[in-house]
Amino acid sequence: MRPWLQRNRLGLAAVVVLLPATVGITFATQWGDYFGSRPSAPTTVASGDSADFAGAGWSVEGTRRVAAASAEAEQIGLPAGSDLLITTVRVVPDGSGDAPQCTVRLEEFDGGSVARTWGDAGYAAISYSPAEGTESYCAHDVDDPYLLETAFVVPSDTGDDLALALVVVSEIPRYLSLRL
Amino acid sequence: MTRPTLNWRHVANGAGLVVILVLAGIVAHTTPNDEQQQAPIPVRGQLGETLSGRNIVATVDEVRIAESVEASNGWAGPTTGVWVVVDASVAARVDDLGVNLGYARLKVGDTTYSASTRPGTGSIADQFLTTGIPWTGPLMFELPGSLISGDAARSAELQLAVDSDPRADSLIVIPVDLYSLDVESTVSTERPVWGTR
Amino acid sequence: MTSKPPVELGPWRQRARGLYDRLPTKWLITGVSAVLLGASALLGGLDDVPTPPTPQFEPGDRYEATQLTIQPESASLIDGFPEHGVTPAEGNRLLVVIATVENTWSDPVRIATGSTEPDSLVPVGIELAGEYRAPIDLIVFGDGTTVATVQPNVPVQVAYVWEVPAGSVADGDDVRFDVLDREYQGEARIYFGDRFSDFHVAGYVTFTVEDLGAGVSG
Repeated sequence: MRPWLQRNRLGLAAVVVLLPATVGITFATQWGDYFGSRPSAPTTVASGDSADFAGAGWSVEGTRRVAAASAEAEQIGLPAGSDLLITTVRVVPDGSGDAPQCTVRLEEFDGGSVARTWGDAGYAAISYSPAEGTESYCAHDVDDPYLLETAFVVPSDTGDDLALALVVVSEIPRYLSLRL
Repeated sequence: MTRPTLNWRHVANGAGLVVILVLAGIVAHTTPNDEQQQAPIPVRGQLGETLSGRNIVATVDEVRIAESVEASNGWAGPTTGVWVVVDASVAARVDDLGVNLGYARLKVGDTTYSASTRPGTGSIADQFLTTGIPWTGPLMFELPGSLISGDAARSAELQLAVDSDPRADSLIVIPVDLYSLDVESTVSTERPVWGTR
Repeated sequence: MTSKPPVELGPWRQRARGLYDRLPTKWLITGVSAVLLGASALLGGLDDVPTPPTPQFEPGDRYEATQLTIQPESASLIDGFPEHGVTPAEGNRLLVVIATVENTWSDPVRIATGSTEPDSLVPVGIELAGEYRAPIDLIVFGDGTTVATVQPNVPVQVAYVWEVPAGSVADGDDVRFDVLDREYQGEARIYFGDRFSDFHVAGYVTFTVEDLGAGVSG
């Protein structure tokens, strides 16, 4: 009789191939659905660069930060211990008539991964008015370039390694990460 | 037929079977059931301590009991029981997308009470939270008067979580001794404030 | 196996056997069943099961439902609750039932959760403004806030408010209100909470509606 290993080498080879494949495929299908339905694949755009995404060109025009204890902060009515971060993005619709609607969130990076995120302060109890000539939300039926201004109320200890996460529903799971 | 002989192989098989059965029994008994798999993850602490969960940071400062409450917005709610007023400071920790103080409960014995939304803007129940910037204000719980003087009130628990469904996420748990607190006739509460104190 | 020859039967046994073979068994069974059904029909066995009559409560009675104990007290017709922000549309009035509700469950209970389906009291037989039979508001009698959640063992006096066209209910009319209840079925596994059966009518109470004109304060 040949030894057991030799007799069963085909079966063992099949197990060695099929077991990891089964586990891998099961995980891939489940997690693939999960990650595919939420913004999970960022396209990073370095500070100063622009990118084409979802029918428009996007680039960060400027960032302004109102510090916590400043006179302007008091005027706006910022909560204690928080700064106001105002980002301006230049949006250039590509003329296909279908300028995207978007959601913007602020992300703070710690090393290479996202540590904290904030939503815009549109409904917050502060008296900040957007600058003249800017839009507060992605304009839908616009063909001309415009400036998108978003204000975020963030804790004063927020670092400077920040990015704007621009999510357009039709492009999920891809989204744009504009470094500030 | 010849008599079957007992040899070491048979004994080993039998022992192996017994071991496998015992292991299967252990696994069957220790497998978490649905409730355990979905249970909230408690983060325990004391009054005055800042407790951090996955996406919640909360500090509970003071607990008072009164027969009537005057909230900062003028609300003065009558009750046939008593009001347990909890002053707390709550913030989201990493993400504030759609996050609110949806689960604020006081557990006394087997019964849970939820923070009343009747005071409206005078309490932080259901308040939408911001990452890193806390909301400080009162939570008011309506309890039957007889419960405060019962034994279960000694080991009451305050439970806070973001989102009204606390399953599989952090739950801040703070024990409160309601029995030892005096019942005041009336208390007034501060206006909920947004910002670091 | 050795086969044995069939047993020799006596002459009358043979005839009995023959008769038995020719017996129309299927017909016999059908016939007996028909006779039995007919007899039970005669005795009332095929009639509908008599449903127990819906119990009637008096105003002021407490009904203990699965999660709440409801004690409806009075029904009235008023023009509006302007101080609580409840004002009916032009030409409509408000039908208000005052009830004391107590949560007998061990968790807070959300009442009037269904904006289209009622969950504790529903008026029967009268026309309501709008297509839903759920109350348009549920007001705590003491402070005028909308009660969303009732805490365990703390009785609270609430006003169930329905909007009715002006002509549908008049002073002195008797209006029937059904008291609804549902059974606990267990814990929900997909969502957080408990599972209940649908609401069913557990009883009814008839109120003589009093027209309070502009309404009372508070």
